[in-house]
Amino acid sequence: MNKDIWIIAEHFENRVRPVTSDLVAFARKMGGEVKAVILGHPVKPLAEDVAQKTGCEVTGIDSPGAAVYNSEVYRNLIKKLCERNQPRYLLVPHTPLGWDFAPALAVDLGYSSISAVTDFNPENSTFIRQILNGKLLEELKSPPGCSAVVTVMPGSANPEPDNTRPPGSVKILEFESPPVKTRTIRYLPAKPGTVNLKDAEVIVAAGRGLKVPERIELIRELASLFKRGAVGASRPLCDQGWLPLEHQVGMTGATVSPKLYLACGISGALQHTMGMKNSSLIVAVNTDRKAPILQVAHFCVNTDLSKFIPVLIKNIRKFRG
Amino acid sequence: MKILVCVKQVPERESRFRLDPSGKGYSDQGINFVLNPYDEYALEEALLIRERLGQVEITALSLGPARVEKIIRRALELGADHGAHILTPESYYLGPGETALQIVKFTRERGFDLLFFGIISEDYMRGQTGPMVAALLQLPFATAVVSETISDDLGLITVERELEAGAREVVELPLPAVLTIQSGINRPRYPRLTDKLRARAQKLEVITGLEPLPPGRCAELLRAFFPPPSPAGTFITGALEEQAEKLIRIIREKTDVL
Ligand SMILES: Cc1cc2nc3c(=O)[nH]c(=O)nc-3n(C[C@H](O)[C@H](O)[C@H](O)COP(=O)(O)OP(=O)(O)OC[C@H]3O[C@@H](n4cnc5c(N)ncnc54)[C@H](O)[C@@H]3O)c2cc1C
Ligand SMILES: Nc1ncnc2c1ncn2[C@@H]1O[C@H](COP(=O)(O)O)[C@@H](O)[C@H]1O
Repeated sequence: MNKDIWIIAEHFENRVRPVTSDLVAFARKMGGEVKAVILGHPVKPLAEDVAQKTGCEVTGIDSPGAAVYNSEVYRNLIKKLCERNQPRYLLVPHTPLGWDFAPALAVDLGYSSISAVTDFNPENSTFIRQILNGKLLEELKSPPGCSAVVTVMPGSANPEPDNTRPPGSVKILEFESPPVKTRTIRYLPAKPGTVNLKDAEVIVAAGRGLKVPERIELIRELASLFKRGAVGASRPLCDQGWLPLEHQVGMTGATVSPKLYLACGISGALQHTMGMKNSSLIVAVNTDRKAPILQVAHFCVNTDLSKFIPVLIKNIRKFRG
Repeated sequence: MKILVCVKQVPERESRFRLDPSGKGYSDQGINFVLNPYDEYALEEALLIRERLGQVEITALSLGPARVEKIIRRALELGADHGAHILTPESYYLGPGETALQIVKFTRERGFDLLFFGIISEDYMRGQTGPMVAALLQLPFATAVVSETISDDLGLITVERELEAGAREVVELPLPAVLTIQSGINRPRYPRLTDKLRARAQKLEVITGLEPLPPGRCAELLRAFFPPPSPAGTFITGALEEQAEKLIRIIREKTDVL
């Protein structure tokens, strides 16, 4: 085993996805030699793009079976590469592609598997990750002599601007398509929504702290007081059918950055905050003084939303005259 | 057709936590434990398949200390046919690889056609167990499943798996297969009284003794700790009226939306 850190680059429809640069930044923070691996068909232009943007030495794995993502193809081909030259760490983005193949790849390789990490502590060579929806963190280590597959939460490191380093070298390896059982049939793009969260200046977002669906009216009323106000939601509200899916903010919903984001009864799970943490002003209304949303909120009203929001509505009305 | 649903007991979402004496996890003292919400969706999907196809036998399996019996019974109340419990010692830390290995051992020779998992457990949030079990059994799998259909000859399952920002992809897998189920795929039901009574009386299969993990396969857990106090956030204090007035002032200072 060498000391290398390999990152698996992600791409979609012939474009390298930005999460790749996050991953490179995370790996560089860890220290050691960082190399990138990308799978595709044809892979050369993608590999060159990664080398150009990140300055990493890139290995492109070209195989007809890797033209679109397939977990079995990814596992099979990455395993072949690791058998030639075993890295210390294999970093994979914690995205719907990464979390799909990474744990199974770890089993195939006999590596340890650590998922959804948000930080690395270079002093002890440990990884930090959230548990209990962010209420606690845990610190884990892949023992010396043991390689690890690690999935890294998007946004866990600040990427360097593109092209800050001289382009890395590119090597292309060609492999036949391995036999697979799983077939990817087609891609279904998101359905266009009628609620345009991206253009809203103010988003009043509701979470499980609402307790009863009737309180959505309060949220709607508050949002309607702003010229470009819209209603956002955490996933459980959409899952329960309290609001249509197009209101959902977060990893699997919309990514937004309004001037004001008012998170009402939302605990602040990473999958939610990923979609709203770049809002200019974030205010949380939450009965829990320790809710993880406070890690991203600028202000917090530590009060029952069903009592506070009516008073806020009344005061905004009064102020408006 | 036989379906295995792996169900985990997790703390209720609004719980407040303390560290346990080992400093490696949360203390379960005073915690109200429930069925992992994602597993509730997984179980519901299995029940819907049984309603669609008839002739389906559903086994709910959980690993954990004595207290997890409660959620295995919950799964029976909801409609699972059998309940199985792999008993672990109290306060025992189960890593992802070790968990997967026990599940794999359980499945041997039971001929499951489908193995259902939650996409993630709400306590350890690893999202690893399902894909690891699939890899160990060399079965095809799909994660983050938000819809499924099974072919008439019961040979294939076609699923939609969720990608980012509302996109999906359609994947086709031959049975037997492993799925991890994402929330929102269905609306989990409430138990019926007759099922509650049945569940109370039903015998569970209890398995003791854990299969040891081959060395070097698992990451070492060093400690659990509370996140450092929030760097930026300021509390807006006072009575309701005062809080509202202060907030309006802040919004006006920092933005032009009011
Ligand atoms: C793969 C994956 C993708 C996901 N994608 C998304 C996504 O895109 N978007 C998303 O939102 N989630 C997503 N989730 C779910 C996410 O992990 C959390 O479960 C979810 O965000 C929690 O929603 P919540 O904050 O509304 O509920 P909870 O976590 O239950 O929080 C409720 C909050 O309300 C507070 N509260 C309770 N009562 C009151 C009251 N009276 N007044 C004020 N506050 C109160 C509580 O203190 C608590 O903080 C995803 C999960 C997975 C596994
Ligand atoms: N102790 C356990 N007992 C039963 N099922 C489990 C256990 N741990 C994990 N699982 C299953 O694996 C899924 C994902 O868990 P995790 O990998 O911990 O996020 C859960 O939703 C369960 O279906």
